Amino acid sequence: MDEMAIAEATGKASTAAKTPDVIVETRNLTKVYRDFWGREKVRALKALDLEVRQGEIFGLLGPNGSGKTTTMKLLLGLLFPTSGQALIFGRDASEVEKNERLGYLPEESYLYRFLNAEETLDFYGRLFNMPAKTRRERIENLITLVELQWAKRRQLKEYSKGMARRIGLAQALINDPELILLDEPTTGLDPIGTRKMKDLILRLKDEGKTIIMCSHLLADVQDVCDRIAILYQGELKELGRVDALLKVRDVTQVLASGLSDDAKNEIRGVIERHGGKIQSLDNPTTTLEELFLNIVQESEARPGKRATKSTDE
Amino acid sequence: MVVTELPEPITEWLAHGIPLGLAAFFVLSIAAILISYLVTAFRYGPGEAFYLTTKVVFTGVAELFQISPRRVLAIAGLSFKESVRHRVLVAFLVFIAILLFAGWFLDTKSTNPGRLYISFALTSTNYLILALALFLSAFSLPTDIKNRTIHTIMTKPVRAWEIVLGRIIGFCAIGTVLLATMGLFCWGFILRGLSHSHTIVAEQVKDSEVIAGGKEGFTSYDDNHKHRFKVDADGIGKTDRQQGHYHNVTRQGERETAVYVVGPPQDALLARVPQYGKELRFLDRTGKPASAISVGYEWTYRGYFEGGTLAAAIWEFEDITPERYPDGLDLEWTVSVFRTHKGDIETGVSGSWVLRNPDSSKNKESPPIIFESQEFSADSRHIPREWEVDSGKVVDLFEEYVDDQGRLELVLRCDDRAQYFGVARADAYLRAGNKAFAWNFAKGYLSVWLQMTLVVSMGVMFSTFLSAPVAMLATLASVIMGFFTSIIDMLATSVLYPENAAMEGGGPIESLIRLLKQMNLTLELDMGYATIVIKTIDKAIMIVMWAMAQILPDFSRFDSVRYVAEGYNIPVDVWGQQIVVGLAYALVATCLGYFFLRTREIAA
Repeated sequence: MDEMAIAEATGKASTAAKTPDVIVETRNLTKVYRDFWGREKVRALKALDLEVRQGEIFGLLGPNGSGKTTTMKLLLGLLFPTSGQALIFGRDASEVEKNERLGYLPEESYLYRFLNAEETLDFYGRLFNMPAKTRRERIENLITLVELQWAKRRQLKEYSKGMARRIGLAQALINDPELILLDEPTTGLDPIGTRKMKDLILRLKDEGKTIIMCSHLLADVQDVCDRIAILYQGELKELGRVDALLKVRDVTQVLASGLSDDAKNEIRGVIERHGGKIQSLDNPTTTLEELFLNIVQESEARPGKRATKSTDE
Repeated sequence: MVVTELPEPITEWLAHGIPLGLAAFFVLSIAAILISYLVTAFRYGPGEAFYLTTKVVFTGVAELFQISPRRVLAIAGLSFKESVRHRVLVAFLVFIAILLFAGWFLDTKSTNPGRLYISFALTSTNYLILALALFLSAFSLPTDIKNRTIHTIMTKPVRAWEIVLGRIIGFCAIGTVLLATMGLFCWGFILRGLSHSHTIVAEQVKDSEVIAGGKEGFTSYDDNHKHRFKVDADGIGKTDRQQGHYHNVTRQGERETAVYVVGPPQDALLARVPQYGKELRFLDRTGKPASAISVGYEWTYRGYFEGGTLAAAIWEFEDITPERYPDGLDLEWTVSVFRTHKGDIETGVSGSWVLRNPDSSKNKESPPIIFESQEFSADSRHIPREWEVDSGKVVDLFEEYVDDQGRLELVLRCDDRAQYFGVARADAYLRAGNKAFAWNFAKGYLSVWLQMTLVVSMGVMFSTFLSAPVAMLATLASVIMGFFTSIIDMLATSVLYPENAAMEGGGPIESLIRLLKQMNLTLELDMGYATIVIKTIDKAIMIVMWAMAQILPDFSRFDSVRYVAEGYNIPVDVWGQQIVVGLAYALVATCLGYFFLRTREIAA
């Protein structure tokens, strides 16, 4: 994607530098879904404490039904917490004013299918009370940014899933937000599209935006996120910097190529001589996947264990 | 006659209506806040509930001042586009189809085809547009919530006010466009339906016996009627009135080559402005002031008086000036006849009008204007300004029968013995002139438009917290109840105060039991303690019904079709009230919609 286009589309990004460090904060955030009679149906989120800081990419990770989307919706004020509090820019999440500085890409791009790309962006631009001239410029830039110039006059119902995703992202950026919430940003995208989306997220970060994304695609999270929270059945299981979480201290990874079998045996010998034990000499797996699966397995074995602050940073 | 209850003058109505409306708004708001507090307290406890309720109320007021016209219009535009792209225009095609085939079923032999065409056109547009408004408004927000498109809206700096207002304005806009187009089509439909012409065969025209040098004869039989016509010596004249209209007739050419030309129908589309009497009083058979006689009819609207005696009905008119009536008075009336014996059933009961100077010292009465009663239809008489009273003496009626303050009395007597006339104040009036029919037609559509606005705002309000089909049912129920508020009110008060019940038979459960047991209405329900239980439940139901009837908008108030169809100007007292009531309810619905939308969990 064109760097210039991003710079233009997202405009003056660095103005938000003086905002307080913590952008999003949840305190003891709990959500219980009830049925018609008020009986408890699902406890979707249990006493979540999170802090997201200015300029970082924060990943919410978890299997389906773990409370990621619930957390997002609570942060957006689309749901009201049963107890606890969600604060965005230091204000309660139910306040409308926060939306001025916020962009949201929903799980699926819930847009009006009878509008075309330009009409869609124009509509959302109007919702930000943008004057016509500004709207025109931003629409132009955003459509270039998400590479939909060729389809901007087509109704969204003719769009493929990937295209809908891209126009969804464009509408989330229409107001040049300081905080961007992305719900499963890469679903429905092909590998190239996924790559481009990740690059875009990283560029948005470079512009000083704060990004919260949730996903169950571990590779995406591992590639772009600075910090992650792993949720399982509504509970926070792990929280910390991605690199720190993935560093396994008592394992040494050797990666080499062009070794003969003799050389490999020799290496084995050296390791055994030093009392080490070879675990594998295969290609390395995605370690986040392993971490994730470990957590899920452990949670099922020992329910109730919660994340500790120790792994944070 | 078209009106049974004369509308209250708009200034008086506003004078007591506005304080009452504001008081009702205030009391209901307090009640709504209290109820929401109790509901919240049940869920979160009293302290938290107090905080939450105050917060919602204050944010609601604060956000009212943050409404941005651009955002409202954006949502209105979206609703408009959405409606268009969801094939709303199909409704328009349905309408065209109705108009195309209506001609087959409308009775052109009727005595007043104009009334038929106008009421058909207005009523059909009315119901069609209400149905459309109902579907559009009830399905919009729930669809948004179901498709989750609302998630991308609510995460923008949009206030719930703007969503509710934008939706209402958008649907009203599409409704207005449709209604205006339908109105134009109806206008064409009515003009086309009523336009016709006659021909006159010159050989069949005879010399007139009444007019010197004049001619008379009949027109051809077209559109199920023909006219008798007269022309004067110069060949200019007109036909008689048939099916609510007449034609101008002119003769062109002389003698053997004369051709009679019949013009287009005149007076078929009218907007008469009636001037009603200030008061109506009765005299008894000895000529003394008295109240009217009840002849035992259920409807006590009309008062009756006896024929062949000194009994009379007297209307007092005010502000009768030569400036207002330069050509004399046009008196139009209708009477109800109660016969105590059959008499000659072929001829109507005869009656007479007398003009009288209210200044009794002058003691001036005009000669009687004799008429034969036509029951169930209106009659009219032109009273010329220069009036030849007995023995060739010509008087000016304004000098003779109108007093210094411009007052005039019209005295109605029944001339057949032992027959009775029944009249009400609105049954006789002086025609103060005509207004443009097109303007009256537009005012008729204004009433339809207001009904549409009401339905749209109620539909949007219900759809902020109900699912689409339920919201539609709720709106429909409100509209139907709204049409019958007066009956519901009467039924409810009859059940609640059985001692002076206007309707017999009790509430829903009691009447069901009566139906099943085939009980006469005059029998008391006697089932011991069960009766007490049944009556208590009935009363509880009726309290709710009564409250609903008080709160819901009275849709029958918006019925202007009869005015337009009968050819009466819709007075400002009527359409002014309609505008105020319609917009007030739309406003209340918007407020309710805001609070429902603001306090619900969108994503739940």
